[in-house]
Amino acid sequence: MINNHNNDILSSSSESKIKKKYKNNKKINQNLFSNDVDYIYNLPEEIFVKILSYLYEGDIFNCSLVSNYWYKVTQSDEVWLNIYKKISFHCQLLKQDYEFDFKSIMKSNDIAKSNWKNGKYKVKVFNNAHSEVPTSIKFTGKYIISSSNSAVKVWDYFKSEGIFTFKTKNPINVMELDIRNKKVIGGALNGFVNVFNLKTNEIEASFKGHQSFVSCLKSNHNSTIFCTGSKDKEIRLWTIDNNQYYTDDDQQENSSLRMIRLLGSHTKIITNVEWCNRNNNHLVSSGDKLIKLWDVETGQCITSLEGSSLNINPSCLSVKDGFIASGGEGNTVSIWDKRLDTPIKKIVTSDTIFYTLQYEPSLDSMVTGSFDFIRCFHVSSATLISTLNHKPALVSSAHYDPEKVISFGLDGIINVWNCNLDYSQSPNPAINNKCNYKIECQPLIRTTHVDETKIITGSYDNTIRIFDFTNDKKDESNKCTIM
Amino acid sequence: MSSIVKLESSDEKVFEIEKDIACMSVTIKNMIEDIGESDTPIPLPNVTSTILEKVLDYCKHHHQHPSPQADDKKDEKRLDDIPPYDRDFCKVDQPTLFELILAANYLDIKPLLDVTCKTVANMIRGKTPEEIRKIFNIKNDFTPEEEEQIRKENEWCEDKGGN
Repeated sequence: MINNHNNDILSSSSESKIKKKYKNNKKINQNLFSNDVDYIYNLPEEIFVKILSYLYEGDIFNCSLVSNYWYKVTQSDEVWLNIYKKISFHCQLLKQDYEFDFKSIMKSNDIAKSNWKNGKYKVKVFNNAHSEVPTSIKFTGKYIISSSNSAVKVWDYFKSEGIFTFKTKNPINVMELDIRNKKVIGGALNGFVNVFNLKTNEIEASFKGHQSFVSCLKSNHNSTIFCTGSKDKEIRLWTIDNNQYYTDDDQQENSSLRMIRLLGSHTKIITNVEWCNRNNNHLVSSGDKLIKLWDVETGQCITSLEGSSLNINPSCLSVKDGFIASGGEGNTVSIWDKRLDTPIKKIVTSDTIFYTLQYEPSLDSMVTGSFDFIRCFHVSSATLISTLNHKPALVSSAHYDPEKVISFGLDGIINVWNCNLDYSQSPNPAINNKCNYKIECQPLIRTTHVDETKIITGSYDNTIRIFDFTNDKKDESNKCTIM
Repeated sequence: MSSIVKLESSDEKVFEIEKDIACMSVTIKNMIEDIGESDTPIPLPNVTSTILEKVLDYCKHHHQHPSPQADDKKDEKRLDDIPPYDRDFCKVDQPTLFELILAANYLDIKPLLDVTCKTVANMIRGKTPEEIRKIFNIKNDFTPEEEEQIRKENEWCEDKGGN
């Protein structure tokens, strides 16, 4: 790395050169280093922020009361972004742009935490939000995006009103947001892949990407690469070209959808694609009884894993922290370390099919949904810790974090269980397996979004409902403007 | 065997050190890449000889004992995972500690900056505002009203701690 051949030329003048180049740096005032000096005040502010980034809210609270300067620094976005990164379990907002007030987000999350426990929530209803059933819902931190067969709609979450409708001939089935939350990429039942620009309200791209319907769509860690899987058995990678990526000049924002490559295929419909959170280039897909691990950069299939299931069902592939868990038809969940070819764990259950599966390696726990049961497993000992009964209806999907399990039933009932699912220390045997509360959300739910403060559902009555657990303002109105 | 580079502290003391060790400082590494290797000492006008010596001790130790790559990103922000050598290294008086922080920042030695900042964070952790003021010689420049207002505004996060 060193330019040795430059030695002769430079040696004579190098000293003066270095001094010129580096002497201009800010000098430390040596006199400061005596007693009774406020050293922290004399640090560059970014270092003080770095120090604070090691602390949690309680300590930040105490720091904010030290002095005006400390108050100012403790309120900076970066301090709160760091807290969000440490505390938020799913960190959903990190995937997108950082234009958030993370302090308010942490405050709402905190309020929501106790409201989740007590079942305190506010309902907002967008009656007849679409003229057909909502097929997918995304949340940007500010807007709710919902899709149906003929339209993609944008709603202001805080004002509870419709903003814009994109009319489309392509029945959008799955959606993701781009890096700046300004574009929505959608995969449709007719194989089209579309890009909706939320700023210009234009459909920027519409491209027949697959021969048959797009069954799954996932964006990578920073929402710049999108992966689609289809009934045509193929997996494709996409990017949204942004010519004026670094400017905010909307006039010049010409962008279009570009296919990066056909990644590969399975022998049946692609049921899941999931990105690895530890290695940004790795992607996992399921299509038949095989699970394939891909290197997106080279386009190569690194390995094919075969579990015990005949088919891997949608929502039954969990990829996190270098581990892969899958279930489907059959009574066994197979768990792999993605570096190894054989499963590190096979968990045999009394179920014969799985509809939903979530594995959290950091918690050493896994939650599966099958018929009308939700089961919680301690993974390293492969033991069933708890069975949660969703009767009388079948479970369509479930979601869990360290504090609760939320299950969605085919009867439109949402069950919330408050239970500690962090088994990384030791599983808690005294688990609460009585449902804490039920949320009635009839009729049948088609699609859901769950985050730290809310559940958003799209149901077969063409209605979108928001169950908001922040509820910090005493605002009783739940009227929503319909477009 | 890597070549030797010379570093000159602000008080004009010259230190000779293996290039590989010196290059743990990104700043020095860039300087060497910019100007090529030479016998002329690299001036470090922001670092005193006392601090530079300590910094070089730190670099030497970690050069000989490379720490295993932490693969768990989540643990990066943990406060209780300071290795024993680093913990002892940071057992210094406040002036030295803060000079080390500034030197680590200027020289761009991330592990040293991390560990010194963690040490300061540990000094803050679990303390009341009054205790923090005492530790760092800070004057309370709030009026009682301001203090009350901040307390109110942020009371939701009082007593919330991570692990």
